[in-house]
Amino acid sequence: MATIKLQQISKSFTDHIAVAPFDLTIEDGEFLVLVGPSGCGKTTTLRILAGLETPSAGQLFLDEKDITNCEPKDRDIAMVFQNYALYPHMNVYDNMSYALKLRKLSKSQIAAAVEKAATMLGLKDLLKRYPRELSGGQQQRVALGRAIVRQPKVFLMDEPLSNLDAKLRVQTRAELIALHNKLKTTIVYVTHDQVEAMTMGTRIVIMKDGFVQQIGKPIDLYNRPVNRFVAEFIGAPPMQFLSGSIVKNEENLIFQGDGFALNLQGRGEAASEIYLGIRPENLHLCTEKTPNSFSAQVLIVENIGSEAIIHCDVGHEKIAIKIPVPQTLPKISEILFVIPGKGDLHIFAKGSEKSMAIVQLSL
Amino acid sequence: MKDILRYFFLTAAAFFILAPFLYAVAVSFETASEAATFPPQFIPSGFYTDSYSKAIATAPIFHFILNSFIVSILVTAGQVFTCSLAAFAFAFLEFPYKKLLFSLFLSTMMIPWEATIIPNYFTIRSLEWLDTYQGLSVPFFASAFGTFLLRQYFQTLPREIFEAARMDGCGHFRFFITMVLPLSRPALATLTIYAFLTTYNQYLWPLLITNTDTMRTVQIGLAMLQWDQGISWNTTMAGIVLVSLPTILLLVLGQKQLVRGLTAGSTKG
Repeated sequence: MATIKLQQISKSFTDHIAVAPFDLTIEDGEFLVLVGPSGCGKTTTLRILAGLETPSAGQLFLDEKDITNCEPKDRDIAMVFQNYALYPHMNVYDNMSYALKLRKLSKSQIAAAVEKAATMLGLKDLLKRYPRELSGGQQQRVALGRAIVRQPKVFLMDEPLSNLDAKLRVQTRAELIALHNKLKTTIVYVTHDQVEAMTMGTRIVIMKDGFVQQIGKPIDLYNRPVNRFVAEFIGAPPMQFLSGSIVKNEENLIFQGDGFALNLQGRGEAASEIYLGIRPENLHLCTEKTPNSFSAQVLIVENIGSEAIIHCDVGHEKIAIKIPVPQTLPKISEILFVIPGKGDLHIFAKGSEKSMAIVQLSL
Repeated sequence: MKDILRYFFLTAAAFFILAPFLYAVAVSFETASEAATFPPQFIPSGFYTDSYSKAIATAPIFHFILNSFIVSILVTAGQVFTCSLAAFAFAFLEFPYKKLLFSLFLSTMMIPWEATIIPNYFTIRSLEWLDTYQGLSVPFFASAFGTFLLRQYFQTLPREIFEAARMDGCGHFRFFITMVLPLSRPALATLTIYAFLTTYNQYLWPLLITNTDTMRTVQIGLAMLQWDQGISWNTTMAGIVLVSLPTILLLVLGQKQLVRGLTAGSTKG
């Protein structure tokens, strides 16, 4: 059982705030993902959990025990580093058993623990090899194995997949999920990749410039982003935005864009300066002008086989549309009409960038 | 063609650098009169080895070599010990005024050794260490250069290894012994060879603080050969060849490490 509680944890350096104070409770067995662009404070947060960084303020609890000023080794937390940080002069067995040796476990206990972890990770034939004799994927497993043998209360992972090639990354991602299901140990995972966050996390903490933006289940972040940043960060291609205003006409809302209008339904207030956020998969192409459609000029067509991303100009703005293939792909410079689908449309305030309402198209 | 040219220049350069030494070897096998002729004779007429026995008889050369070895080994061990610990602190530990202290440390490299020789002499004399091994070696136990060399190397070790070890429950000292030292073998070898050769070739300090044959080191011994024998060049050269042999041996054996250490950090290997 391991529950981590962060209470008003923050970290500031002389010239900037790395992590602004925030609260978070990580439940036992959770796969929590810290995600955000580089410099958002996610790694610093992880390092605070590890004890490699001391928080400037706030308290940290592991199972109700205050570990804020606890040495890393006394926390019962293991970490997998981005570049694996294997000990280059030790073979795989020694790398994996190092922590156990320091804990003065008996030789047979160590051998059993290493054997178990090595079997789980498919490293049994590599125990005598040195890190330099391993491929990137194998090194990554050893780093994982080194953490697993300790049977820690919590695993911390700092972008462990970022050094793998694309194919191996997808494979290892699935393996990590399987591993988590098997071990049921709490994992805190840092990544800048929203796909990893969405696929692996049971919960996601999304950060920007040291501030936590939103905490929630992956699907909630996707469906109910609290601000424009979250809306843009989660989902690929990101949510598209059209600026305009909302006019209230009796019970109906109308989005007034640059030369077009969309009839909306749902709760909302009139506002003069807003962004209308639409997921690219919620946009469709049509050849004729219909109500609620607007014209767009095609700039780029990216065909990735199963689907295509169409980039186009709408007035002074640019949007991307995701369409399934096969479908007749538009030509460059072609002018066509775009109509939002039945999915949610998000209204964000200009300036504060906060979510104001989630509405649908009125058919 | 390019290779031929390259090897030609390399050979020429090697010859240019080795010429004095080759000349010394040649002269050591000449007779006294051959060695004294003018213009000098570069190729000995025979294989005359008496100069060696004479050199050994005139001055206790082997005893000097032993002395030099003892002092060099002491200094090398002392430097590797103090420098690696200091470098570890500067590379891995956080403490107030670290940068300032390190600059201060480095600035001592700019003070010529000759400037401190008199105060050092008085210190050693007041300790009554004149004519002792500790007098010859202790003043060189710390080296700013060695600390700098090792610190630079330590800094190329990935910081995450330090952090991973910390999380595995490894303390500073254990980390130093089981991680830093084994991973820094090239730099340590460089420092070892450098410290050994520098000490072996020392002249002024041993000259100042030793007064008896039992404590003299090789470089002083060589000077003795010159003065005692007038100018008997073949004997002097025989002494020089004898004295150079250990250093040459060390250099040949350690060359790979030395080069690797001096260029460490330029490429990560």
